[in-house]
Amino acid sequence: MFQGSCLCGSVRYQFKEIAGPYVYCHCSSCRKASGSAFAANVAVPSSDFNLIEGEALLSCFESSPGKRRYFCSKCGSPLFNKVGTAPALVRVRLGSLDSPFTEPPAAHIFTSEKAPWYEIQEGARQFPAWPKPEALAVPGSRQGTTDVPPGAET
Amino acid sequence: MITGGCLCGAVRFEVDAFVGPFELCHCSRCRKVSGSAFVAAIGVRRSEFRWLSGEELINRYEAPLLEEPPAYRVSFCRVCGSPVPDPLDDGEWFEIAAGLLDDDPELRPDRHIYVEHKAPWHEITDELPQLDKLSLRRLRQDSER
Repeated sequence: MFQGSCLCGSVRYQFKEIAGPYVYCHCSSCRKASGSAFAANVAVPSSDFNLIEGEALLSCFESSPGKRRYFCSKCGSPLFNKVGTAPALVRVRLGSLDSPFTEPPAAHIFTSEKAPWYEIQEGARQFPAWPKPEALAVPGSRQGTTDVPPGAET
Repeated sequence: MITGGCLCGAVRFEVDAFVGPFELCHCSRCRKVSGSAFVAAIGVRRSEFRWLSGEELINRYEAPLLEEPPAYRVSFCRVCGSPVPDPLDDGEWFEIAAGLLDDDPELRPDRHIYVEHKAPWHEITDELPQLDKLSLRRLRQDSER
């Protein structure tokens, strides 16, 4: 069982397993939401994902139609996303995870929008926008859906 | 001039120039605040920073004091949650999360800090210095002399 929480500890969640590989997304929306160089979100089956505490303190921002980003209204910590086109999965932000997890990302995506100050390791798999699903499937994302224009956020 | 803002665009600011330091902080609190592997904090002088909009939308949270003041504090846009600038104190210098910037700050990261708290899933692959708490404290003391 994995557990995670926000900075102030008001919101706590748990889940059983992570569904497939994950990526670092360098798109401008992910950078703005995190304040960092990239977002790191793992896909988790919605049926396994449970809020243990603090549901009433969650705020949500819909950054594009059907893409809801949840954060703690008390401390601002980003916790997870829900994507309308993939309701079976919740995308959990790895920075909020408290349980041990050691798997590295499978690739960097949206490197065309990468911060000029951040260098990606030579040799790492990189995709300028969404990878083609046959090259790398990003579970729970809007990859491959027709409503996402090239360069759109994840 | 460099502009920046939160994800929803309500909170906006501009900076004449950044002075640094530019540090990638891997401490557990910065990982929680970003939801990512680190916060990228870039130093600016208060006199070179201006709000453009949305200052009234900022919420603040001060974490319990771990050692000595100041306490860890985070400011965020209450609409979208992005960590936004926080020039509250009287100091002449403060830090901004570099992910908020629309433009190239024309500085590059100086170092990784609090690497002893680094997320186990994240590997540091660049050649920048990696400082733990003690070596960072030493560096700060040296620069104050």
